[in-house]
Amino acid sequence: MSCRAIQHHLSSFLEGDLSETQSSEVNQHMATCGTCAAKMTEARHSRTRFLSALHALPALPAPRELATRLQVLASHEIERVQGRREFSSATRRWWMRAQISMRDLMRPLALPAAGGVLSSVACFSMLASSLTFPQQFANDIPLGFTTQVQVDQLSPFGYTGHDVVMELTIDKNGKVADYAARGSVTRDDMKQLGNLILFTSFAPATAFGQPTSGKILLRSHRINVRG
Amino acid sequence: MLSYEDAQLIAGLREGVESSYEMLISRFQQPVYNLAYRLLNDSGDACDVTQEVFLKVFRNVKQFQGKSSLRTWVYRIAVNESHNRRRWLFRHRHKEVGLQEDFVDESEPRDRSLADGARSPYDRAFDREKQVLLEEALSRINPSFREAVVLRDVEDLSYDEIAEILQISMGTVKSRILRGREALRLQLTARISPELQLRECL
Repeated sequence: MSCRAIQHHLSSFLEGDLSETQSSEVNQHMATCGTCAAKMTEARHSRTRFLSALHALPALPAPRELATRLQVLASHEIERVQGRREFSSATRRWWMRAQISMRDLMRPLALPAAGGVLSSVACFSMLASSLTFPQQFANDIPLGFTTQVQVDQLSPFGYTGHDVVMELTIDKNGKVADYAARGSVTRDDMKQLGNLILFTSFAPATAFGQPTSGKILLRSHRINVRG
Repeated sequence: MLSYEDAQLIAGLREGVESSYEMLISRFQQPVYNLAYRLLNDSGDACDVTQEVFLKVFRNVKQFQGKSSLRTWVYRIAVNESHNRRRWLFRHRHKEVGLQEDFVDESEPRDRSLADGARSPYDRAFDREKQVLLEEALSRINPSFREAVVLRDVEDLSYDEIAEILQISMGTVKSRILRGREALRLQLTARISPELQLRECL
């Protein structure tokens, strides 16, 4: 190993970071080369001085306010930890106490309460047969029903034409929406029928209480009044 | 892995026992602050980091499984927190405007080194000088080397512990320490004898 190589490996050698063969080579060189040996001694000394100086770096006393801050932090944490623990144990204690007081309350009450319930059931079953309830359905809308169109008021004008059957469609407002006549109808008859329809008022059909459109059949007869 | 005292202490912390909290603080306040200071080179930042570390320890003690020793765990948190802090500072520090650029804290040297009656004022001044130089050099080297060197040479931890704290392999620990020392030495020589360096370059 040359002096240059030794220089290169000096610090690694001192740190004990060379392989065994390399360090033995360095040692061999040291035995023969005075300059390198001197340099090595110097380097070793400086390394020791340097490391001891690093070691001797004084411990820096932490500022007093840091201790206070840490104490405050610790007390907060203790409170937090204990608080959490206490919360769970307090809930458990509260639950047990509630169970005990519930049992204490229910034990003396159990017999009277059961007696009360039984007697009320007995009373009710005896009286149930004789109970009647007054019913008032006068103003009730017949819900489940449909009603047909009805003639509210017939026209005051008579009809003197032929017999005829009319099919009228009445809308939900009670107005005639359409009409159709069956049988032999003359023009004059038709006119009379028109008047008849016009002056007759209808009650619309209802479904579940709501007015809706519907159909009605009207049969007209000639009415002869003798006299 | 976990010693009896550590296990007791951790159980106390989990239960919220006051004396355990006090013991943890008294045991680790100084080392954690020291480590954070060495890694960040600022007292205020070191204080903040120490507080963060303790908060994390208190909050996470339930999850601590005892696979490493308590000290290693706390140191790991401290190193990580310092790392985060340094990153944060790197992003935010340049936006700050110093109000007291020329302010020199006169009380600091007296506070920081304990008086040693047996040594002459000259020696103490010399020591102080050396210390300042070392600290400056430390703050200049690569942070990951600095972590390794501080843990090994200042805090005096074993290689195993350092590997656990930094979560790196033993080989990496060794190489980081080696390179860190080398970098530190270079920094120091550059500081002490710039003219010498210059001559070598020429």
